Amino acid sequence: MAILRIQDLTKDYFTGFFGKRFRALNQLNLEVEEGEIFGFLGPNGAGKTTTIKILLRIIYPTSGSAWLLDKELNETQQQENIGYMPENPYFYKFLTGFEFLLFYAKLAGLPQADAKKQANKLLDIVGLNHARKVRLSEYSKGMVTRVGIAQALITDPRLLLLDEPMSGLDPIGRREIRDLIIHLKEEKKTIFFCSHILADVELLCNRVAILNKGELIKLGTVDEILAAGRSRYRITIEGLAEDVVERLKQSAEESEAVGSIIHFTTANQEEAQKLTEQASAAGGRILEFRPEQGTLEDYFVREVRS
Amino acid sequence: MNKIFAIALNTYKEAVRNKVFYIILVFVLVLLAFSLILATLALGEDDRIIKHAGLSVINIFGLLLATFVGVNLVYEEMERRTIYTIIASGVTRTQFIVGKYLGLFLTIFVNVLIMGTLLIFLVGIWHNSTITVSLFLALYLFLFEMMIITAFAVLFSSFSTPVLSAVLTFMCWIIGHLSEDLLEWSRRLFEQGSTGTANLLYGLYYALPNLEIFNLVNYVTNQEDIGSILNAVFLYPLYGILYAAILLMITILTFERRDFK
Repeated sequence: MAILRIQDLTKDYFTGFFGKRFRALNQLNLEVEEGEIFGFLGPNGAGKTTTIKILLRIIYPTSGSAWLLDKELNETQQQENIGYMPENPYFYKFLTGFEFLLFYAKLAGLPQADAKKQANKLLDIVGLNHARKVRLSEYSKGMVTRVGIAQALITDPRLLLLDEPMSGLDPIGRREIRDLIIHLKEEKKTIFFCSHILADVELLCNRVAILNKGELIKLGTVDEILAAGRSRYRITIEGLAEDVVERLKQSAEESEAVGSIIHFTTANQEEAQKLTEQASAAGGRILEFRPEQGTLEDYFVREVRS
Repeated sequence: MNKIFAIALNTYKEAVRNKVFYIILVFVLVLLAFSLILATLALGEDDRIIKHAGLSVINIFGLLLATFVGVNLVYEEMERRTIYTIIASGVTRTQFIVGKYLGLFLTIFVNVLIMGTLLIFLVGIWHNSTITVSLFLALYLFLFEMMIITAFAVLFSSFSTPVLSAVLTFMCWIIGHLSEDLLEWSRRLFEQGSTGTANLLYGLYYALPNLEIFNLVNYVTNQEDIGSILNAVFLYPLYGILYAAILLMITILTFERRDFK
């Protein structure tokens, strides 16, 4: 069942003195299934944040609509089913972690006692109970991201919109947020997830949409997208004469020399076999012949560039 | 309503936890103490000097607080994008503006209350000075002037930079205190036959606030006639509330369909 349905969503901005039209989002159509982690990818300026802002009524669409649980997203009441964490979150630094969550709980309309209970529960979930009385100005970037996710969970929403949650985090911070997202999926939350860190997207997401210049260019499961991408072959050879290496480089896509060992990468199996035969015939010793699956990043870069 | 109060309280908390708030307050205390020194130098004029200097200091610092906190209020929420999560929490833009406004006004109210209490205390302990009802009335009416200035600051902050908003708010304050002169100019120009300009000034007189009605410094210190006390207690405050409400409505209208980039 689709929890979020976006239909023909378009956003135009008017810039400059003469109000020149710039289309940030063009006729976007998407459906996000309940319980999945949906990756929303695209280079800077692709229209990802614009889409999220429209869903949250921070900006208004030029045309098109979006539905959450079959109700059109133009009512404030619908917001309780959506949690949102912005990119590079900047929150009220003068508040402590607990006060911050209490504030958002009150904005969500929770009575004082429930608000306190919810704030404490969420601090536990995101592992910040030890810092509940510390002001946000003292928080590290990872802690701010975690308290930001806690804020997004304050109404116990069914859909979470996370805009670049890994941005600017160190490997440990990234790992913590990744684990948190996995935990939220287990809690049956639907997560709509924008990120530039494609390794995380590949690891976390069920389905992915790639956006470029306001247009949807690809939509599918991570496996489908990777299968559609090219597989490459990596051959490691030792003991080749220099002139043979130069000759073989012509038929390889990439090559890299480490001492007397040469790594060749070819675009397909046929090329790889041909290169191996030529190397063996020239007296080279084949150390490794390995097919390599393209990564989401490879696919993303190729699609966006093309 | 709870959402408005939550935003108002958060705005108040932000201002109170800001060091600038305390710097201003300390500065006011020093200046109020300085008025005592002035009073000792002005023989026989102690009462007038303390009250005049005290009320003037409160007026100026109330204005500075309303302006400098007010002009950053909405602008910073947009610049830092904290407004995104607020709107995403299901808060309407009207609730946001009203909450911010009430929070700022609460800050000023508390500030005026502290400064006013201190002034009344100084007047009370000073041997040649007496606490009068007019002193309370002056502080009471000043709050309504601040109500209008705060609404101007929030209005300008919703569509322009803090510097421009501060300049515009100050201009409104100055013109507001000179609005009687606008009427006088309009009359003179009308007599000279420049009906177009006269009508423009006449229109401005009604469009801009008349802040001088809230200024009772001369009434407190020189017993200047202010007309009906009932007007000062009920009518002028009502005027202040209505004027601020209209400014807030304009702010809400400009804010309602706006895209936050």
